Amino acid sequence: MADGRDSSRQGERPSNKLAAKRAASERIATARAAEAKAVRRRNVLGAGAAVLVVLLLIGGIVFYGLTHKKKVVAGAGNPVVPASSTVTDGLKKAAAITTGVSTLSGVSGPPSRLTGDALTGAGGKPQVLYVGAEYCPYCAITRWPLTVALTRFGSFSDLKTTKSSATDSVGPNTPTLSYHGSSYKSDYVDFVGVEAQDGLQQPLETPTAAQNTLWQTLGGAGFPFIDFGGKWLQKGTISLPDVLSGMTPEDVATQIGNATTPAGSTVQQGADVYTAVICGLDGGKPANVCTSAGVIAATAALSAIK
Amino acid sequence: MCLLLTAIGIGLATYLTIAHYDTHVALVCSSKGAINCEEVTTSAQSKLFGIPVALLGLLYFIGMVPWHLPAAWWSADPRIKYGRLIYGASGIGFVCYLIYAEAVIIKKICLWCTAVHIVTLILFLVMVFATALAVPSSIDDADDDDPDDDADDEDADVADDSEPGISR
Repeated sequence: MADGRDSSRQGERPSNKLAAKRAASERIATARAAEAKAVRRRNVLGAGAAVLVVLLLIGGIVFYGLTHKKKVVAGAGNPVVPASSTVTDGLKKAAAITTGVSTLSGVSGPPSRLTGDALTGAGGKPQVLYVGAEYCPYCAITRWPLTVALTRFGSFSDLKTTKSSATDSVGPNTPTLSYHGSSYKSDYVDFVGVEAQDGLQQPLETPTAAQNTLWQTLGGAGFPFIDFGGKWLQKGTISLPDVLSGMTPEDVATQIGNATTPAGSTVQQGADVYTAVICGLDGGKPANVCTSAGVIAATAALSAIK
Repeated sequence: MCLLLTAIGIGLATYLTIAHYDTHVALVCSSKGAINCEEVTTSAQSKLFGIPVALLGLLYFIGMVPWHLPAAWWSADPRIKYGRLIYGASGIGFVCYLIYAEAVIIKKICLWCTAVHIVTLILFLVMVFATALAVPSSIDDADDDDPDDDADDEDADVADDSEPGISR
């Protein structure tokens, strides 16, 4: 009997040992599962905190944007700000129509012919070189038709709006655009806009040596100066700035698409003249622009200029 | 999930990049009031160091693809795990700058850009939480250092979910 009990105990020992091992393994597994759960909980809390920070940051930026006025980006004197959608849309609308002007009666200072070398830009395209200043009231009125005309051949980016000097005796606070920091793309013509001085007549942009030579010799270092491909010269204003008196850039942009308004008529006539000049430089392209009634009429009117 | 979001991001960024370079392609978007894609995409802030931000976004999403391949998600290499998070966080940082540019500087909202921002944000959220739920196998896998493998095969169920919660 004793031998039988002994052999029974001997048979139970491996079984107990296995059970003990299994229990230990289960304890380890349970402990690891608990640890994994704790790690996941900690990680998720950390992730949640990170996400919360990001959402709060974005919310804060949006809140700041909603509660603060538009930032003035550059310039001095009158503020210079990015052109609003009203202005850019108004320019495009104005570029899409022409007036059919048959004389230059609405243009007090038409461009004159040049006989020198052609002025070309990238890829041999004819270049329009503008030199002006943000304080200058004559530049202020001239930029509108120039920009409308150029918009018929390409597109501007980063145009700004401002007003000319408030203290000028002629056309103070004339609403206008600024080419400072802008860019222009066109398949037909190259445009360089140099705003040499800011609203307080302080230096803003410096023309290259070649540009400076043209500006000095052809334009007498006055503002505005526009060299159309070396073939036409705008020396001084194209129209008197008084027509824009008391208006904002948005007001002007709204009116230039309607040639029955004084501002719209003045700007459209100037734009047609400049468009006709550029059509004469680039071989009459694009045809839909250069064969429009207003441009044909302006071309005929320009032909009278020696 | 992450690869799908990345693909959506590539699609949106490609559209914005094409619209930036090709003036004949106009974004289908309002140009009135506070929503004005054109004003945003042609603003001074549409470029960073002379590079269009739309192109930077496209490169970001293309660069995101390798981080979300299955092999990358299954990898236990911490350099991949944290590298992916840092890459995603850099995208969020850039999105914050772009939202600042729209909301504070330009004061206009570009819907397509906002869609890209939302995709970037969701991608980051999924990435962060998937990474948080993926517990290191050294903790989760009970098989790895058990001295009596032959005795505890029943414990294998603990090890089977060594990479839980990963959303790919």
